Amino acid sequence: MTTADVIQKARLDGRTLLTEVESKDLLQETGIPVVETRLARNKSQAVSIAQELGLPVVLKIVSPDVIHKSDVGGVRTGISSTGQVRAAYDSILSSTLSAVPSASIQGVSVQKMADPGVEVIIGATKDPQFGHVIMFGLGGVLVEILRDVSLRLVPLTSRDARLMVREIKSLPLLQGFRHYPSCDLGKLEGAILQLSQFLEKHPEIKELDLNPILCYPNGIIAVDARVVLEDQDIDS
Amino acid sequence: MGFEIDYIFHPQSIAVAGASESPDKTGHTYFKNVLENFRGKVYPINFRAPQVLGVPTYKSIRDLPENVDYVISAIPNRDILELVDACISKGAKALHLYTARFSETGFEHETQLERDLLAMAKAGGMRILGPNCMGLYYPKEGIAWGRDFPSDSGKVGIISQSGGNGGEIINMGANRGLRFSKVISYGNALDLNEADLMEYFAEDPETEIIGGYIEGVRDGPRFVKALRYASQRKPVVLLKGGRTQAGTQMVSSHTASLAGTQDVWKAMCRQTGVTNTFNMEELIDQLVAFSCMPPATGTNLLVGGGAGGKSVLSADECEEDGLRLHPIPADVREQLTAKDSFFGAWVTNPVDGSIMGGSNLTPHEVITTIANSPEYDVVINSIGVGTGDPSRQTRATRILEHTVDIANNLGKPVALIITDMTPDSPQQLEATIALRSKCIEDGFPIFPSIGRASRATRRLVDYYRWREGLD
Repeated sequence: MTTADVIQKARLDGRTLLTEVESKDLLQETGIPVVETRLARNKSQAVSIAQELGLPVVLKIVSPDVIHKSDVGGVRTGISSTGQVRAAYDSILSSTLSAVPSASIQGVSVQKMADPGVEVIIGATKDPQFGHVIMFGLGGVLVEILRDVSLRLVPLTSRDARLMVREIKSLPLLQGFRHYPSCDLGKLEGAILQLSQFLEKHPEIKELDLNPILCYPNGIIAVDARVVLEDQDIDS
Repeated sequence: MGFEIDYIFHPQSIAVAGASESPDKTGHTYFKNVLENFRGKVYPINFRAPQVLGVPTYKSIRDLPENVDYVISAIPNRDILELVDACISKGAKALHLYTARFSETGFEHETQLERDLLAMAKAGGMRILGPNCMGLYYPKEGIAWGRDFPSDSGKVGIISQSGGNGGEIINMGANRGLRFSKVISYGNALDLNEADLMEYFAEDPETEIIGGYIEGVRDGPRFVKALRYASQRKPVVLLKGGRTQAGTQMVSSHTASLAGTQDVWKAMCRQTGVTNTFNMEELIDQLVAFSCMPPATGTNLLVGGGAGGKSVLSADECEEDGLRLHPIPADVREQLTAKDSFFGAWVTNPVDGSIMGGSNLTPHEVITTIANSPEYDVVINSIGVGTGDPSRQTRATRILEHTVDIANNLGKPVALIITDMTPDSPQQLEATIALRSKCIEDGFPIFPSIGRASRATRRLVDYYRWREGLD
C-alpha cells in the first residue's frame, strides 16, 4: 500500500494510530531500509509467510488498540520452526486478549528475524511552535531513563544530521566500543535526512518512531515502526 | 527579505495619543522623549488637557493639520477602534500600541477586539507594533520609552516580547558599555512578530549584533528561517522566557515524551547558530562579548592574574566551560627563561603574578609573551582592586592599561575580570567604579567573575566555529 492508501484506510476506520504493518508500508516512501513485514490473518497464513520469508522469524500482534506490543506479551522472537510459528501465533493472541480484552485484532505480523546489531531509535514528533522535530538516540529501554537523545527541527541539512548523530553521549557505543560492532553512521545520517524530506511532504504525521533500528558496520535496518496521524489532514 | 519595514522606523512626524501632563504616566514619557529628541514634528493628542509640556494638544488624530507617519497609543483599549480608523484616515504608516488588555487577558471580548483592530489596520495598509508593549527605542531618531536610556547609538539590536525585560536589557547593558541601534518591544506580536523583526535586524546595517528576549513564537518555521539567515551574518543571542512545560499532553510515542519544549528550543538554537542563554546576566555578558571581542575559533586559553588558589579555581571553571588551559609551549618557555632562568622555568598557565617578586620578568611581560604565541586563541586576565588604597589602585590601573594594550596588539579575544564583590570600604568601591568606567570608556569587555567571562568567551568561540563550519 502507498502512503496515501494507508492514510485513507486509517481515516475510514476513524483511527490515528497505524499498525506496525501499515507504518512500515507508509515508510516505504522514505527509502529507509525496513524489515519486510507481512500481515497473517490466521495461523496457516502465518506459517506460509514464515516459510516464504525464511526462518527464523519474529511474530508480533497487529492491533490498532495496542501501542506497546511487548507490554501485552504480543511479541515472540527467534521462532525457528513451523511448529513454533503455530504455537507463537496462539500464545500472542491469548496473552494480548487477556491484557486488553476489548482489543480488535487484525492478525499477527510475520518478519524475518534480523541479525543482532546495535539498537538505535530515530523518531519524530510535532512541536506546537516549530512543527516537526526529529529525534535520534540509542535504542532500548535506557533511552527513556537517560534521555540521551539529540533533536533537530525539520527540514534538516546534512550538517544537522551529521551533528545530531554525533551529539549523543553514547556515541562511543556506535563507534566500536569494546565488543560492540561499529555502526554505519553515514547510513544513519542518510535515514535522518530521508525522514526529514518525508515529513516535509506529510504534515498529517503527528508522531513517528523507528524503534529499534539495528545498525551494522555496513548498513542499517528498521525492525519496528509506529506512526500516529493528526486527527485531520493538514495542507502542507 | 525583511528590510522593507525600515520605513516604519524613520517617520517624519509622530503623534502620541494619550500624551499626558502627569509625569508618572507613560503617555507623558513617550511625548517628553520625542519632544526633546525627535527631529521631526510631534503632536500631543489629549481629549481634555489643552496642552502638554507647553505644546497645544489636539483632541483627536483627525484634527491634525496634516498627515502623521507614526502614532504611539497610550489610551485605554475601549477607544482603540476609533483611534485605528483615525490613524488610517491621516495616512499613518504604523501604530504602536502601548495600550494593553487584549488577547493577553485570555477573554473572548478583548481577543475579538484585537482581531478587529488588526483587520482594520490591514485593510488600511497600516502596520501595528504590539499591542501590550513598550514599542521602539531608536536613539538615532530620538524615540525612546524610558526616561533614562542612553541618547547615543550603538551596534546592538534587540527584540523583546516584554517591554520590562527590554528596558532591563537597555539599562543593564548600558552599565556594561553596550549601546543600541534599535530596541523593539513587540508584546502580543499581533502584526509585526518575532520573524518580521529578526528578518529586519538580519538586514539592518545599523545592527551588528542581535539580542532577543522571547516567550512564545507566533510563526515558528519563518522565525527559524530568519534565525538561520541572520546568524550567518551576525551573532544572535536569545533568552527564552517560560521554559517549563505548561501542561503535559498525552503522547503515545517515545519521541514525543523525550522532546520537551525546552529541548526543542535548545536544538533549534544549535541548528540555527543562535547563542542560547538562560538568564539576563548571561544575555548581557554575551552581548558584551560579541560587542567588544574579535572572532576566534579555537579554545586554547591563557589566564592571567590571581595568586595560588585563585588560579586553581579559575582553571577549573574555564575547563568546565570547555576552554583548554593550554600548557606553555617550548618556544615560549625559551623566550621566558632567556630573560629569567628561574621564574621563566617556573611560571605556568594560569599565570600566577604573585610569584614574580624579584624577577627580571614582570607579569605583564610574561602574559604578553605567552599571549603572542599563535597556539593561544583567547586570553582572560583579572585585576584585583584589593583594599583600594592608592598604591593598589595605581597597580590595578597599570594592569588595565597593559591588558588593553595586549588586546589592541593581539587581535584575539581578551576578557578582563573585575570582581563584583561587596566593597569593604568606600575607597574600594570608588576604585572599582573608576576601573570599570575606564574599561567601558575603552570599549573593553569586563566581566564580574571568571566563570561568566569563560562562559561568554566559550560561547563566542562556539558561534564563530559554527559560522565557519568547523564541526
